[in-house]
Amino acid sequence: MIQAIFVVDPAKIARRRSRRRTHLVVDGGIFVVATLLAILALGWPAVLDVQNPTLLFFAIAALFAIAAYASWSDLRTLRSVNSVMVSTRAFSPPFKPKERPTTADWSVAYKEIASMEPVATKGGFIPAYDVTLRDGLSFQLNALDLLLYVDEKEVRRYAKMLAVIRAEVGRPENRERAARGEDVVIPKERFEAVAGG
Amino acid sequence: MVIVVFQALQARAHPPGVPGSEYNYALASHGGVASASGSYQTNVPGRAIDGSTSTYWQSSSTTGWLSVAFSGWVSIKEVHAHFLSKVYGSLSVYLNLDDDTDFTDPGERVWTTTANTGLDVVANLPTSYSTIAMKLTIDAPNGNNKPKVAEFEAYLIPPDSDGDGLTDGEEARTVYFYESAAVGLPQAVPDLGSNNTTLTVNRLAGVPFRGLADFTVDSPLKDQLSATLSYWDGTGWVEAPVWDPGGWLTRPTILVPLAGAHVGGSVTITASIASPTLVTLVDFYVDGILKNTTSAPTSGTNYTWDIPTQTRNGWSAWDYLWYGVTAFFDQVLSWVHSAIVFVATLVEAFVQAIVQFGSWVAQAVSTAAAVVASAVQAAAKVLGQVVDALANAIMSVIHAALDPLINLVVSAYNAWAEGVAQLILSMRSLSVDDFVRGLIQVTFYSAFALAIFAVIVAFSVAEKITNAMTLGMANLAGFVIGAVAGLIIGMLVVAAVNQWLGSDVIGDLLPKGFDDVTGAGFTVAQFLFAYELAQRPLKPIRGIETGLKDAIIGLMLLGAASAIKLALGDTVAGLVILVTLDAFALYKELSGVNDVISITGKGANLVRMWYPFLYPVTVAVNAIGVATAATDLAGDAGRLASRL
Repeated sequence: MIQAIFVVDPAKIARRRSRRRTHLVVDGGIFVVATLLAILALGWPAVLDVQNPTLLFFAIAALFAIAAYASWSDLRTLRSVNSVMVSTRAFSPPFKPKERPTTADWSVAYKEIASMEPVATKGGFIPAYDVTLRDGLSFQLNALDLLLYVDEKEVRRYAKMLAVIRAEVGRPENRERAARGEDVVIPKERFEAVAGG
Repeated sequence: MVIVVFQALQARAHPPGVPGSEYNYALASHGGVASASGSYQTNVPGRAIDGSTSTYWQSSSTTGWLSVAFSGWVSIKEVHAHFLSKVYGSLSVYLNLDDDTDFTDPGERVWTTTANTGLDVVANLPTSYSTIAMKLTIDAPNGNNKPKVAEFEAYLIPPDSDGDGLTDGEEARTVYFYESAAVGLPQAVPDLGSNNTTLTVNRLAGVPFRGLADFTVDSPLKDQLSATLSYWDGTGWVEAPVWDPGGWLTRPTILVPLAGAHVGGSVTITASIASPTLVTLVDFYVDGILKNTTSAPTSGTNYTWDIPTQTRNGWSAWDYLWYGVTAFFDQVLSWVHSAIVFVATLVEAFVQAIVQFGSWVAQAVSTAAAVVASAVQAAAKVLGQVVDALANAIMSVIHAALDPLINLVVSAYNAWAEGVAQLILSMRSLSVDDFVRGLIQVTFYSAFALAIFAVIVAFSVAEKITNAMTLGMANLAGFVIGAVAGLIIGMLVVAAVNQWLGSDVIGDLLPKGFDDVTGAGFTVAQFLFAYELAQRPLKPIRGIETGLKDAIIGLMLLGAASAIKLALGDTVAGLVILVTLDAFALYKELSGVNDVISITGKGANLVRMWYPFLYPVTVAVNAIGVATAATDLAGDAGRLASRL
């Protein structure tokens, strides 16, 4: 039985996705404006009172480039938004790595984790880990990403949970279990002992 | 009898015109003929004297002249030139005072300026001149723009509404008349209701505009008499009542339908005559067009006309469709126009508020930088004399290195900017391929690029040396460097915001002369920021990253919008596109700010601790982005509103 220990309000995640979708609409608007400008410049230059056609050409080209880059970037950002959860068998990081551009939510089972290496530490607080999965995927998991959704206290609690996960997946018996393809289960009490209820 | 003899240059006897609608001698409809040094496309000189501000003359070069030959000798005191789009500081006005073919005789240059600041130029001449032609010269260019003049006008001030050479005031004070005696007076009073008596006067030549009948009636029954003055209007005789003490000649009133009533089908119009004795027929007009004449009253005082109002029985489906579609589009266009005016005004007001907000954020950033500085000093005191001395030493080294470094960067930046400017000037003659190659060469093989790399290397080396020197206190040293860098970047950003806002509210916070290095300094900040992103193992968190991306995309949009602004004139279509792009940019900037504010509100301490350099830069870039986008949007929306 899977028990959720840490969950971020799904409404906040939905709001973030909605905002990034609005960005995509705006990017589409930039495309439309660039197209309209090009059509007017080619067909009805008097409507625009074109004074410098060369400069206008470069500006329209730049607009198309900006629209393309913004769309690509916003689409990637939208797809990276993920539901946040920590349970006894798996966890869902706040943002999906760029190698997992799925529209559905993404979670990592503990048995899939090959290693978790701290990136930096100050006063015993480790905010981020370089996580490598058994299929070779590596990504940086940063607890501070959660500041978009929750306050500092919750971020620190989440960071402590990541420390628990790192310790548990590093234990020899769990590594052997994962190597055999069996589930790695971290009891709820382990999390509560370090991070509170 | 008084005989007034005058030589009017425009010999016409007109009544004073409507105040404020002075007579423009230059108009083509008043006989003006325009010529110019050259014209761009179809914008010929005649468009500057056609009375329409939506058409214009455009010079074929960046300066030029425009002249108007009047229909004859005229007296003028003021010359107006209404430019479009660009202001030209140096202008002159010449008059042809001797009816030769040029404007070069001594005293013919009657007005000149080198300090004009407006699009609507009023040349108030030192005195009124009698002249036969005038000429406007644009003596200095404004960039590469070709001057546009919507209207070129000449007036006699005080106003001469009808252009007859007499001012309105003179005409209002003086009555000119031609007296002609009637023939056959005195006449007996005619029989009541049966006879008319007609008198004639010697015919007037010319174009009279007023008639005065001066006669005496010796009768106790004056209220039963009336007199009418008849005149020939060129096509027929027109009668005008001049004396009607009994009210016999009063105009009919419409009894049915009532004013404002909606009627349909066959409608009976009833006209009532107060004194029917002298009326033999009644004419019915609709919109000035004679529709019906009747001489048979339906009752003692009433005349009627049955009017078949428009019925749709004979309409085809196409008529209905066409009527409906045109009415619909008329209404929709009216709504759209009102909506655009409303939205543009609303946006202008809104973004003015945003500009204030941006200014406030910029001030808050500068305050935050000051707070960081205070915190550094306080920490240094607490940590004791050794650390204090060490920090001071580091600060001294940085300050000693900073001034010559900034000078170097400024010089290099100026050279680089000049190179780019030269490249852009020669852009027309280059292929796109050559232009891009040139831009890369100018950017990456310049002294400016070397200076930037030198700054990056210097900071990198300083960071490593400081870490080594401080041994176990590397974190503190890193913090100090981060704080110092943050302060420098903060001041650069404050200077940039200060310059762009054109406000001196926050300028006092900056060291003397700091504005001079703003442009170069901001570029340094961008390079340092890129260096920070590339070097740190801890990747930027979401929110900071998205906030920066949104801000940078917004700034890129504003850059493209600026190029469009330079490439287009002030047409409504162009301004609508600009306002749309500005609004998109502002949305991106505000979205970025929203992410940063969200993170700041939930865990500013954590972010400052882990991103001592990235965080203040992000806040600063967002503040700049909002302020710039809002300022651009306010300006463009204001221009659009004024055009509409």
